[in-house]
Amino acid sequence: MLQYTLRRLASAVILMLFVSFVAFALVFTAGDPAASIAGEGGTAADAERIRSVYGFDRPLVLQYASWLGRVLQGDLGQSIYFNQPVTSILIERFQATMLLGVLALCFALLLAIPLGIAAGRWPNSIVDRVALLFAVVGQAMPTFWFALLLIILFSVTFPILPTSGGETWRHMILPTIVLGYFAAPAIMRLTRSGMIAALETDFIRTARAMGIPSSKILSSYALRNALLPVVSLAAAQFGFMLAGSVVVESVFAIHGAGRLVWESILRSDLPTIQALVLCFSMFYVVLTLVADIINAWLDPRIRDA
Amino acid sequence: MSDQTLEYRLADIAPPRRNYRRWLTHTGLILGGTILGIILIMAVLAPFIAPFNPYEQNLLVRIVPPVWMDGGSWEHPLGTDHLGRDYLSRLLYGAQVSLLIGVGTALISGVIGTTLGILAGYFGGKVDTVITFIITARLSMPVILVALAVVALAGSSLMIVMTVLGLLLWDRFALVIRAATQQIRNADFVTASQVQGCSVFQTLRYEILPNLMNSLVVVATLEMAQAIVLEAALSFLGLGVPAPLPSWGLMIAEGKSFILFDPWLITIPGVLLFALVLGTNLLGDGLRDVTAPEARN
Repeated sequence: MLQYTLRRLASAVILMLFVSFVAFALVFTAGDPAASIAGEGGTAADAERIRSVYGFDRPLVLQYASWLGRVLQGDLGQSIYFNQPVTSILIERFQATMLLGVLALCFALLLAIPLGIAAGRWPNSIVDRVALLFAVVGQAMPTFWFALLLIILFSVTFPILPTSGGETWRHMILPTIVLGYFAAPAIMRLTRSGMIAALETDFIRTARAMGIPSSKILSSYALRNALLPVVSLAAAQFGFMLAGSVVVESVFAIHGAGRLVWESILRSDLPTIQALVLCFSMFYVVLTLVADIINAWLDPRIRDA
Repeated sequence: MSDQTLEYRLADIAPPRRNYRRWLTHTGLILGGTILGIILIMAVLAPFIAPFNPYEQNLLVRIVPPVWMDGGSWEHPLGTDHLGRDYLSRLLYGAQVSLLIGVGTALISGVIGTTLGILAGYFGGKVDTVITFIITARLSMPVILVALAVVALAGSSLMIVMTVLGLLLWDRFALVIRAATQQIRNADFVTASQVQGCSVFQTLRYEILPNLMNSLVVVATLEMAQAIVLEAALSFLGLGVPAPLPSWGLMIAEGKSFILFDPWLITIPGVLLFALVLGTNLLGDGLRDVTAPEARN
């Protein structure tokens, strides 16, 4: 187990280094960063001055090395728009995003897992059909449109929930539903197929032959095996949901990191964009790492492989 | 991410039996194909059936509601937007934008993903390790965020959105093709090709690639749906295709200011977008069921 963890940790560190380089280089691939900071009214001389102030005239690798050095000390640079350290802005903004992400994940799991279990327990039944419909609709529904539909419904038809802002828990309900429903179909489908596969295994047949009650077979033997792959998927979906918060937070006007992405891009606030890409990617790497370690802990077959 | 999460359950790569009855009795496939077909016809015929020029503004008839609502008329069956442009005409031309983005993105990402997947699957070893690493790295970068940033910096146009999405969405192609190639790389016909002295390129091109076609078509369809949603989301955020172009996502964004009194400005393009994505997904899932039913989960 320790050996597996260490090996997995090492590969995550290499991945982080690579991804951090991509996040850093991103702003250079798409154009001249000095020109975008100078803006539309900037002259060539302005761009030249910006280039030397920000160090854009140095080789890319050197710039990356000094940036990485500062990032490792917790300094993500200075936001051009806010004129404040990016780190403190991000800490403030990620609170809302994390809260939303966790709520949405809980909502997705609570919705998808029971539905997936029921659908896998009785394939081709009415429950299964409903679950399938729910998944197919969820996968085709663009999040921003679903969000707007809920806003129309709740602000016009029955105004019982606030549709904009993120101050109280009631503000979080609609965004949670939108983001959770976006993540639920994949989890539902995987739970369902895991359940079907688990119920077909030999050990379940043996357990049945031994006369163990089916409720116990279902809850302790089949479920455990069916849910193993769901751990990895839920971690990945959590990462995707954090990224999906870019859209959801913009629609619902929540003051989180996702909305900050959009705002920073519109303001060409390059240090903030770099830091956000870095943070969102790092979260994903850490999440999958944690999921893999949990999986290995739950399932000895993985860690010995 | 471990190999475990990368493993896709795949069909046996045995040549498909052409069982056409299965094609015709699959509800999802028929429904998806029909929806996609209708939208395709809309896009192709847009120049001939659109009642108005989709770019022509007429400030005298701003926000006319659709025909079934009070104040609507057959002159503008689906109403007009805030600049007095005919909504039906814009929706018809919008189908062109969505389909173009979908097909273009699937082509670009298909080429990248298939190349990486086939190399990783065929050679294995170090090549596989490196390519798997690239795939994992790509998966950890959030698509929407990177796409937003790049489109904002590179400027927005149909071409740029298509290219950026194509350069980002190849991961599923690579994963599926890698797994499919691994399954057949030791098959007798591949060995036969190798001992005959065929070059690696010939083996990959004439022995392996044709056997991957089923998986490729399925993934391409599903990727198309994803690209269409992403384009709409980018355009909705104001960083997709640029303004006068009639993208459905952009139309929803423009309707957002009128959400309280004229919600149909949002619901109509949204329904079309939903239908297109639903149809494409159903078609993709259906094709997988029919050509490779073992891969269903």
